[in-house]
Amino acid sequence: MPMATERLLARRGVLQAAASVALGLPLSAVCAVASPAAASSKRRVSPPEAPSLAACWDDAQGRHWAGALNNHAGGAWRVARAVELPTRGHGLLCQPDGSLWVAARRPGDWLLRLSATGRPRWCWVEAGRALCGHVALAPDGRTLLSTEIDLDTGMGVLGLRDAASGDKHAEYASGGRDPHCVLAFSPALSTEDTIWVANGGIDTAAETGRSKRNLAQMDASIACLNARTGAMLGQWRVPDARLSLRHLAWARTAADQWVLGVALQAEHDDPGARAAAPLLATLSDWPRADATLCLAQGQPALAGYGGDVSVLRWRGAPCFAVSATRGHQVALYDLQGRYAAALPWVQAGALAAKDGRLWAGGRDGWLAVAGDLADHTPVAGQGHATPPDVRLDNHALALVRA
Amino acid sequence: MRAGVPFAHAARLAVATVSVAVSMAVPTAARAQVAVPYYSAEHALAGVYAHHLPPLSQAFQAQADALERATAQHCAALPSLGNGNAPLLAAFTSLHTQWQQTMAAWEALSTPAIGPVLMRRSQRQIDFWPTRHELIQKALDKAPQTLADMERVGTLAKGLPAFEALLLTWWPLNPAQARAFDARGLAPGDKPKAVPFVHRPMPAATCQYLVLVAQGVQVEARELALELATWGAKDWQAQSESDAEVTRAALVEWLNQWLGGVERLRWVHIEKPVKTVQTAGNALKGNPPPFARRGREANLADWRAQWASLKAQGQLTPAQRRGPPEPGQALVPIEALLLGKGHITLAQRWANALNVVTARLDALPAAAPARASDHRQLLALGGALQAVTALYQNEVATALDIPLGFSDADGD
Repeated sequence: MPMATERLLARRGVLQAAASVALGLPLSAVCAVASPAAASSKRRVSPPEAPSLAACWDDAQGRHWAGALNNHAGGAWRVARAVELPTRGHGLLCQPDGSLWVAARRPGDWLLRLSATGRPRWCWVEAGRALCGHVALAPDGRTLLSTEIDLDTGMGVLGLRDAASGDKHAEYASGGRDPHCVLAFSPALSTEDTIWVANGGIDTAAETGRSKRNLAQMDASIACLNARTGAMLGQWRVPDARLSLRHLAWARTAADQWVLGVALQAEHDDPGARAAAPLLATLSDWPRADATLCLAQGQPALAGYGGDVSVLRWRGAPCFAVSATRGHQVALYDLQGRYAAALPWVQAGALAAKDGRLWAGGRDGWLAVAGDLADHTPVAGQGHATPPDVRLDNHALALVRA
Repeated sequence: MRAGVPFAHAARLAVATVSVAVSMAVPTAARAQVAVPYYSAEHALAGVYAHHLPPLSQAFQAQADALERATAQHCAALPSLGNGNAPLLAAFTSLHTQWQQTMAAWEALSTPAIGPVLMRRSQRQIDFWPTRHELIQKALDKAPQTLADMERVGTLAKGLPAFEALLLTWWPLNPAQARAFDARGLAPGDKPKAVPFVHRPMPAATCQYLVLVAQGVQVEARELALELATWGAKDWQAQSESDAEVTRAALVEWLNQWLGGVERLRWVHIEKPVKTVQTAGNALKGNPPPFARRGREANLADWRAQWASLKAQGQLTPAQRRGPPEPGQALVPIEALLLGKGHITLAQRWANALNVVTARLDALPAAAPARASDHRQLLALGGALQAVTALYQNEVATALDIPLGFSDADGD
C-alpha cells in the first residue's frame, strides 16, 4: 500500500473519482503559471466559469494535503481532489501535460508528481540536501529546477532534475544561502535562457530546527544564472540587508519590457522597522548592466511579511500584487514599485492569477478579483470560503479547463 | 540595578507564585496544592546551562573516552583473536555495546541541540546520518593516520553513525551464515564456489580508521564540555540592554530548538523512514525502513534517549510536582514555566500531551512486530508527537511569549 494515500475526503461529500486524471481535471488541462516562458506558448482558452485552484493546505488535525479546490457552484470552495502528504507541501508547478509537482518545505525531503496517468511519484531528496519548497520548469521544458540547501556548507544549490521522473542529474550553485523561489525566463530581450533564484539569505542548517541563525549576517540576493551552464550572469541585492528576498513574478510592461517583482519578508530585530518594511522590490531594465533592484515606494506599514507575489491588471495596466499575510491585505503596486492600493483580506497568502484574474487565499477562503480592477471597489466579504478545516499554505496555481 | 528579562511584558506584573495541582496522575480531589514560583528567562537558562547540561556533558565525555579506549583495545587484540567466531563475536559485541552507550549519552546531551552543540554544529560533526558508505570507503582509501589527517576527511564519513557502519560491515559471520551465503543462488547440481565465502577479519587499517573516528568523537566531547562549562558559568542576569538581548536570544533558541528536537525525533527518526518505504516504488517494496540506527534495540534505545531528554526539559518530574524547581538552582521544565506564568489549564494539557507520547513510546515492543503493525504503532507515536508540536506552536509558545523562528503560521 503506498503511503501516498489518496483520499477523496468522503467525509466532506466531495467525491470525484477521476483517479486517472490529474487533480480530477481533463488531461488537456493547462496551467496558469504566470511566467514569461509559459506566456509565449500559452494556449488561448475561454475564461473558465468554474475556476479550479491547485494548492497545499493543512487540515484541523494538522495533516497535510495537496490537491485541487473549485467552486463550480459559485459559492464556497470545495475540495475536488486531495492527496495526503507526509509533511507540509509548499510550492507547486503545473506542467504542460497537466501533471503537478509539489515541493516540500520545512522539512524539505520530497517532491511529488501527480501525473495525468499513473500513481503519484515520490522523489526523496538525497542525504546532504534539503529542498526549499519551490520548483520550476527550465527553459528547455525537460528539466525540473528545485531550490535546495547543501547541508554541509549551508549554501544554496539548484537541482536539475528530469521533469518526468524527478531524478537529479546536475546541480548549479544558487549564489547564496536559503534559496527559495526559482523562475525560468526565455526572454526576447536576451540571447540566453536564464534562471532566476531568490536567495533568502538566512543561515539555516538541518540541526537548527525552528531557529533562524546569524540574522545580522543575512545576505539575500536575486541571482540570474545561465540556464545551460549555471554561470552567474548577474546578482542584485537591496540596500536593507534584513529583507529576505523570497518570491518572484514576472510582469510585462506596455512597452514590452519585463519587470521582476520580488516579494520580501522582513527580519529586523526592531518591531517597528519590521512592521514598516516594504513588501516588494522590482528589477527592471535587465539585462542592462546598471539594472537595479529597487524597494517599493509609498507603502504603508503592512507588518513586513510578503507571502506571495503575482501579477494582475489594474487601471488598464499590469501591476504586482503582494499578499501582506500579517497586514491582512493584498497590496498592489505599479510596475515601478509604487504602492497603489490594497484589498483587505485576513491572512492573505496564496496568490493565483490567470487571464487578468486573481485569487487570494486567506483565513476566510479565497478573495476573487475578476477582470480589470479599474471597476473594482474592494469591499469586505467578496471572498468565498474554503472548507472549514482547510488552512491554505502560501501558494496556489490557477487551473483552467481547456 | 540588575534588570531581569521576563518572558513577557505582562509578566512584569504577574503574581510571583501560583497554586497548582501538583499531579496529573492522581484524581483532582487528591491533588495537593503547592506554590510554583514565577521563573524569569535567567532562571530558565541557568537551569539548562548550569544545572541540566553539565552532568550530561560529563557523561558523554566519559562515554566518548571509554569508546576511544575500547576501540584501541579492540584493534590491538584483533590479530590475536584469529578467525574463531566466538571470540570475534564477543569482541565486536562488547565494542558495539560501548558504542550504544556513547550514542545514548550523546543523544541525551544533544537533544535538543542548543548553545555550543548548535554553534559547533556538533550534530553534523559526529552524528551525520544517513551514513554514506561510499564516502567512508573514500576516506579509507586516503589511509589517514592521525587526527590531523582526519581533518581532510568529510564529516559524512566520520562520527558515531560511521563508526557503527564500519563495525557492522566487518561483523563476524558465524560458519553457518557463511555456508548459507555461499549456497545462495546455486541451482541443484551446481558446484560450490571455488573460493568459499569465509569471514574476513577487519583489516588493521580499517581498525585504525575506527580508532581515529572514536578519537574524533572524543575530541568533540571534550570541546563541548569546555564550552558548556563557560555557558554554565554565565550570569544570565541582564546588566544592560545588550545583555538582555543575549539572554532573550538564548531563551528563544532553547525553546525553538526544543520544538526542533521533537520534530527531529518524530519526522527524521521515526516517520520519514517509514514513509520513505511506504511511498517507494516496487524496487524497494518490502525493505525495512531505513532507521538511523541498526536494529530494533538500538533504534528503540535511541528514540527513548531523545524523548527522555526532551521530557526532562518539557515536563515536571513527580518529585518536582511535590517541590517545584527553585529558581536559578535547577532545571525549569516548560511545564513549570507555564505554571509560573499562571497558565494552569494549559500546563495540564501540556503534561497530558507529553504523557501520551511517553505511553506510546513505552508501549513499543522490544522486538518489532509484523511490518504493518509496526508501522501503525510508529505512526501513532508520530501522531502523538505531532500533537505536542501543534499544542506548542499554537498555544505554548504564545503563552511563553516566544517567537518561533520558522513558525508553521509562516508560509515562507
